[in-house]
Amino acid sequence: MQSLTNISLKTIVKKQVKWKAKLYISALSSLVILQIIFGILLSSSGSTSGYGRGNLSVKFSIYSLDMFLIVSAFWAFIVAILFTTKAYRIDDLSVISSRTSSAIANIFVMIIYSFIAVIIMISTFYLKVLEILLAEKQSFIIENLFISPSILLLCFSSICLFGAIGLLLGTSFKGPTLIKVPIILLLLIFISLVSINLNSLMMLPNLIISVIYLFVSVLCFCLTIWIADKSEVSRK
Amino acid sequence: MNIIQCEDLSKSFGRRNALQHVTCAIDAEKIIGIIGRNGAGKSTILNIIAGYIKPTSGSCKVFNENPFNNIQTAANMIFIDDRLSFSDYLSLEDILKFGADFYPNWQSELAYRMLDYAGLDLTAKHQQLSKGQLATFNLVYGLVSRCALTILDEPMNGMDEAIRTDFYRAILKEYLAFPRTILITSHHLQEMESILEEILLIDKGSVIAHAPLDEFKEQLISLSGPSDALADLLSETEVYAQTIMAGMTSAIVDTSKLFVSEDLLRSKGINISHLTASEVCKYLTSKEGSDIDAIFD
Repeated sequence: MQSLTNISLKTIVKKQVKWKAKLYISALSSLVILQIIFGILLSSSGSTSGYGRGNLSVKFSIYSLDMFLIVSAFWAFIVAILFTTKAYRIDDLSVISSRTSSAIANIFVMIIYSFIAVIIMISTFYLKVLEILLAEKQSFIIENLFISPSILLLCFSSICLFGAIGLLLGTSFKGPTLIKVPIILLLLIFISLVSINLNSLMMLPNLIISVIYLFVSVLCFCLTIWIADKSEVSRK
Repeated sequence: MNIIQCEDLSKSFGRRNALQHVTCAIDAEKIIGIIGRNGAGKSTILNIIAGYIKPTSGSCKVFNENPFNNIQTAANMIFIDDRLSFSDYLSLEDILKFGADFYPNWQSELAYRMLDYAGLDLTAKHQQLSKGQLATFNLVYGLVSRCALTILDEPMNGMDEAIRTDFYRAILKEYLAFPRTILITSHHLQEMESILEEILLIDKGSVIAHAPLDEFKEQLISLSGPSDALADLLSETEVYAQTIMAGMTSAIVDTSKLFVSEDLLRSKGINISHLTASEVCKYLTSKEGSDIDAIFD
């Protein structure tokens, strides 16, 4: 009898990540477009305030990464949901794969894309700064490092978190009913808790917030793999 | 050696029982036709074997392992049907490279030669192909991957007759070059009879026959002769179909329940004729008393 092929999960995941990262590249070009539209064209200035005394009038504007980060996080969430849609899942069945290998590959692609999204985000932010420098011709006060490593980590963990929630939500919808209902409820409770305690969360140092975000992301990734492992799939 | 072993396998979708207590074993390196009417449960059993869905009860082992979500089953199995899909960004040539990267026994040269023969443009996208071209490409993809278990679910759907004949030969040649277990479902049983070694007949979610092709064809027999001569005989055996016209009766009967020699039958003026596998399938799966003419009467 023909000898059977022995392939490890690691090998398949590697191959899937390689191909998925190549094939889903259009997701990144859509992020560039979104950043240009929302970050540069639509947000004309940062938050502005001013005061005056006698002949002296002071007006200052604060430009931050907020808008760029919101766009990137929202993008990560949508892209993650897209990765779990039927069309993508059916494509996975055309080569050697299992639901587990596909879920792990999607997670790696999401992490890689989150990292690239941070680079795109920072690049568009620099473009924005350049635009202001050329257009406004006013003095700039740069707070500490222009973009500190802790901010970079926070951006990465935030994008990753939204991607992880998207993957978990998308996978849950296709999972067994007994699993999907509690998971969706759990996600809703988590989002409500975060919304209620958002102010106190924001007061924490960047590093702590990043660690919390990364921890929740890992939790979502683990749940995604677990649900994928239990899920059935069909081309119909 | 059995590469597929199903024991008391059942699968329900809500209240609908797609498979009911299926027990069967499939040997390695055979071409087996999975035959049944629409909705009989063919695709369900294939999906369980492929590890895509879980049985509701019973067990299924492929290569001695539970196939559900199993990477080792996936590595040794390919499932080809008309819903096989690839990313919109891949041309046919890219898909061949994609397949070559995943399947260790991939035959690139053969794939190019077969696609060239079928006249497929390698720069075209998978979703741009016509129904027949799509079926041709999918079948080539399935054959050149050379997996130990190749599942072909209606592989010839949409192909014209000439290309169908060619590709039945291609399946056989590929099988001879690299023996493997091939499961084929098709509505064109007559066309593919020549390449099948065994038939697994499924009806209403149950396996009603699993036998080598010749044995399968001998399950039923057609008798025709004077109604008087046949009357006693038919009362003692299972009759699958019967027509009476001008004092002559023709009937399809179960061979295993016919305890009369052929010589004796001939002496009574009863003619015996053998059925094709397709006809045997038709009679074994036809509903009792079903007659399309009765609808119009």
